[in-house]
Amino acid sequence: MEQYTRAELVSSRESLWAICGAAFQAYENCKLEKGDDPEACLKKSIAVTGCTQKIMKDIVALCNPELKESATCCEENNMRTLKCPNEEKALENCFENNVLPKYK
Amino acid sequence: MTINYRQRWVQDLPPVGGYPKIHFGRRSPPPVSGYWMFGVTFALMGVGHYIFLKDKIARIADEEEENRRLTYILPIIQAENDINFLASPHKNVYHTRYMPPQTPHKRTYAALPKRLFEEKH
Repeated sequence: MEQYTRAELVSSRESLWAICGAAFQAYENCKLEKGDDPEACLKKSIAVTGCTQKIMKDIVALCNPELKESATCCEENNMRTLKCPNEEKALENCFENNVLPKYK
Repeated sequence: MTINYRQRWVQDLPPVGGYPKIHFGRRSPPPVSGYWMFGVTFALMGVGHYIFLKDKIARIADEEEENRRLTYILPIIQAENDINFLASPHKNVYHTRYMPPQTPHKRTYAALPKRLFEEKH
């Protein structure tokens, strides 16, 4: 399982939620219903990680410069993303043009 | 330039009617009313408070937005944690609990003869 930094995940959060949003929501609902037992929602947690890995792999393959720029900006601003609107916009545009059509 | 010492010396006299009067007495500044000072002070304080509070409200809103954005990755982190926890090499993960440090307590002193702790009258 590839490990991605928090900055990379925060930068590409909109892209991830655009595709894996339903899985995230189902996982959170399961957690609320069944408590904190990791085994109770194992299938949903596997779905969440699998979807995230898949999308992140595509983003790294197709939008690596934008992702790197956005993550660097996020890291340099103490994990704050309000100061990097241009970088995020570039990443989102790249995602919409290159990655999103694959999943439609 | 030559000086003619034979010329008649004439002393300069003050202008007709005398020199103008010199105001050498103490002069106090024009009075500022208390109401005016009160008003200016509160106006300045009001402007300062307005700027500060406006900035603070904006900062709080920004912080809320940042926190909201950070929460978007929580399911991912939580799911990864769950999987890592279940895949951890430890046995009995459900039954392992934190063991507090063993400090000398009743049991330590139980081995010693009780008379050591009896008060002497």
